[in-house]
Amino acid sequence: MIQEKAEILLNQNIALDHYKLVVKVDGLKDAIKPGQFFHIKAGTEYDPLLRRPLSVHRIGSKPNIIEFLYKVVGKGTHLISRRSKGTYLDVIGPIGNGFKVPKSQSNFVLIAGGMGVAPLVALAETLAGFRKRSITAIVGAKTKSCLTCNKELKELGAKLIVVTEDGSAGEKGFATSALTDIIEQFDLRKTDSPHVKKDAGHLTIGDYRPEVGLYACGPIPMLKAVSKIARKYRIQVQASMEERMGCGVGACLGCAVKTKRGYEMVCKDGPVFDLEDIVWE
Amino acid sequence: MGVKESTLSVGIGKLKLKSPVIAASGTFGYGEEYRELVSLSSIGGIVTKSISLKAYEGNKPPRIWETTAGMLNSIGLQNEGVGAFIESKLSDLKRLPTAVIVSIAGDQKDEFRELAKRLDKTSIDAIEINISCPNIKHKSKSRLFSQDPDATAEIVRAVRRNTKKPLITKLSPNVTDITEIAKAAERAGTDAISLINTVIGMAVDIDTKRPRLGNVTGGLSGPCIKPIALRMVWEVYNAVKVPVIGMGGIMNTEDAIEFFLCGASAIQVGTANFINPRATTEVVAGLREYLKKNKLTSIKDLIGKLKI
Repeated sequence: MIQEKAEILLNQNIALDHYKLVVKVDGLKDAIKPGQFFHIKAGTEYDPLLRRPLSVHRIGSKPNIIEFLYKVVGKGTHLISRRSKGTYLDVIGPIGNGFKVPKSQSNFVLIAGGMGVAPLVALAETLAGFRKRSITAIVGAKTKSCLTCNKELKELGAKLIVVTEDGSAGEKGFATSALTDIIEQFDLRKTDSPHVKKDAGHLTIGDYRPEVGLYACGPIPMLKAVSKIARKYRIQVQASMEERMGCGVGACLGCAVKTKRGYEMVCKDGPVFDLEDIVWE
Repeated sequence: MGVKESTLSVGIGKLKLKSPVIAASGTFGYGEEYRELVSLSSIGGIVTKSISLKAYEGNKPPRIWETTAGMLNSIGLQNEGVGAFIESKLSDLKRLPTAVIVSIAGDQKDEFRELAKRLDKTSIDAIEINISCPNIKHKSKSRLFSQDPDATAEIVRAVRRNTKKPLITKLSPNVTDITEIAKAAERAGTDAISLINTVIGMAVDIDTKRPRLGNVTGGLSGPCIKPIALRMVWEVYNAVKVPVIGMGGIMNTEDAIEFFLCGASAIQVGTANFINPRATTEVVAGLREYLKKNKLTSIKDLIGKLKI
């Protein structure tokens, strides 16, 4: 993790309120993992005061060039959107654990709601480097204009399923409505492992099916629904979670999520959690 | 050169600090969290996240809400308890190149007494008594111990009797007369007073009609509380003889100097660490420059030099 003034190479409006931000972070020592984020100082004054966490959207081929995808939702992101090419942004990162990608796995299902698609494209980028694998990306958005990553996901070799709340693109509904159909395609019922107890209270790593890995990022109601479906099929879900953040380094204990081990921090213990460990409040 | 280096050193009772800049409790974890981002060799000390006798789970999220030039928090003193702290955190802390001040909190007097006993046997440099956290409920007639001069004195006395470590008592701004509480702490034997803790506040989501914080109310910190903090440091400086450690919204050197002029012998940097992890060390460097520019031999020449 480093703090640096990163040069803005691009900060472009790509759809209504959606921006692509590319920065050059010279001092990076370690490779960035998909799911990690940077904590960015939006302005130079005291309002907004706190940094804004933005997850890495594209890691790219050059190790010090990082791409973010963000939506302007408040003062912080508005200020970031006004910063121009050639100026510098104060960034801290990379932060967090990132998605774990088991080399043995070959079927990957990515499910995104809204801006949750941003880190999942970075994951697809990593997965695209694997030799034998299938990637299915279910992308849910409010409306057609919010779908900003379709082309990228296709280029990375993902089978793309689009769902919009208003039906302006793809199926009408939520991303989760397409999830059951996709999972059914893997024919998991036929290969039901005998050692798995039907009424297992808490699934642990040994209980999960090895065939499919599910990766999610989106609003809490979506994650809850994904968790319920995945549980039925005993599929592990790695989900990138969000919470209001203070320090970003695990010092302030602000960005707490309740897990079966107690409150854990999105910035230090996450942002990627095994959904089975989350206690929904 | 030796003289130049010594210009920032201050004494808080028996506690000698190489510079008067301390990282505030709850904003700097246990030091290790910021290890990759800042070198602590120039700062005077760090105050740990408050430690209680038994582990505290912390409050229901959301725990943070940003406000105009500030932030509300309702963390709820989440910590693993003093036993786990001594066992797993202390040795790493002691390796930091700065003084280690351990903040203690509890919901009754006996807990503070026990915490003092346990910590007295360790190699920590000082104890800060947190009787002013707005986010925990405890057994006292007032909402916070530090809203009641008798409760304040009782706790300070209980800690004093059980440790020889330098004691700093941290006060809340949520009172009618801060000097009354400061004097009670002084009479009970504290070596220094630190202030201010956060200002109790609220924020509301008008769409859901719910409070923004899971705990309904929280503590306001950041630049927006600095004027309140300065006023209270000035009042307490004029009311007690023990040194005052000032804090509340310090973001940079200029802010810190205001606190010294109002009577602070040392200052703590809190919320600023979240925005700029190097805030403490930048203030140390800034103070050094200010002294040089103004041809002052010691930071002590600034303390309480407000011209009325």
